[in-house]
Amino acid sequence: MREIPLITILGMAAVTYATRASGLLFGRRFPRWFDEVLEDLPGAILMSLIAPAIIVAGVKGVIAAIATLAVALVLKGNIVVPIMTGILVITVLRHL
Amino acid sequence: MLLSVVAEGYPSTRHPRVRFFNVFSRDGFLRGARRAFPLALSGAPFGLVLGVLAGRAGLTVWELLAMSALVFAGSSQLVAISMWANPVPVVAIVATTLLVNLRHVLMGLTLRPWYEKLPAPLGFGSYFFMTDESWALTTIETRRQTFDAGFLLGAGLIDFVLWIASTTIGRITGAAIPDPSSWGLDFAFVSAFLALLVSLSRGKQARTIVPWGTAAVVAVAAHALLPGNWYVLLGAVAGALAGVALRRAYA
Repeated sequence: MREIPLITILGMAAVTYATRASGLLFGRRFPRWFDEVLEDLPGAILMSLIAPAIIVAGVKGVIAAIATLAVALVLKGNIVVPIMTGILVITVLRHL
Repeated sequence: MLLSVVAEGYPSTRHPRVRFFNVFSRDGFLRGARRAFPLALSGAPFGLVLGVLAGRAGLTVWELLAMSALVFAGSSQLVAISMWANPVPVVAIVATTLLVNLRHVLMGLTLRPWYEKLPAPLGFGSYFFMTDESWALTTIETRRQTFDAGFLLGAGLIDFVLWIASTTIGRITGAAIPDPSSWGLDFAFVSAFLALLVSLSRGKQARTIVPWGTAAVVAVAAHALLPGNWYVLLGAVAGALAGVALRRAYA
């Protein structure tokens, strides 16, 4: 099925624009619990992606993750330097 | 290119800062573009990294270009690319994209008083370009007495152009980097998500332990027990609900 990547991208585009437009379209008609659920949702998504991946990567993954975390905490708001740190540390560990 | 629009409206009692009419003009557009440029440029390295990873995950240049232009939401694109496989898990990716981007609903609500009275194409067109960055800049701009609704479109378009350019350049040049696993590129997703997580946690470190910890435990368990990518959705929902329960318990 060669069309599946395109269908996926169009589906992503549709739901993303729906989230952008619905604030303007519907106004304050969302239930109270909606705000509450959204409070921790972004972080929970990222954590759900990270935790199993670190376990799969093993001890080297844990070390690289700690290094990434340390750099990210020191350089508040910077995204690219922590990414480079993680890649560098895991590469060095794998070649030891 | 841009027409000036003055849309009639009612004075708002709920939002006393909102004026009797909303202006949407070329001046606001240019001001938004100027204000957004440094921020959009600082996001370009992230676009380059995302482009490299997209190539590793098997997206063609055209697929990535379509995604950057039509979805235009960095963190959800990074999540989708990390889940990309052959065959592509379309339902899991679209559902996760929806969850990652739900925050746009609240962002859109906060700007609504300044956009609801504009002609629909201008309002809904501008909202396509609402990103974390363009929304934040527009929110600051609404505090000015002379707020011009063209600002969001100008700021968002600059973001849009640099996002497409940086992701595409990353995708094309990334193809020249040899052997992904020896370069640690497979781990780059973990690093990228960790960095995004740290920037999310600013100002609320302690009270994220329960929701994020719950997400981690549920995701690891689901990853071990269930096939496919469902662990992402299960962990995310469990973590968000744990956060709600925590706040209710201490309310």
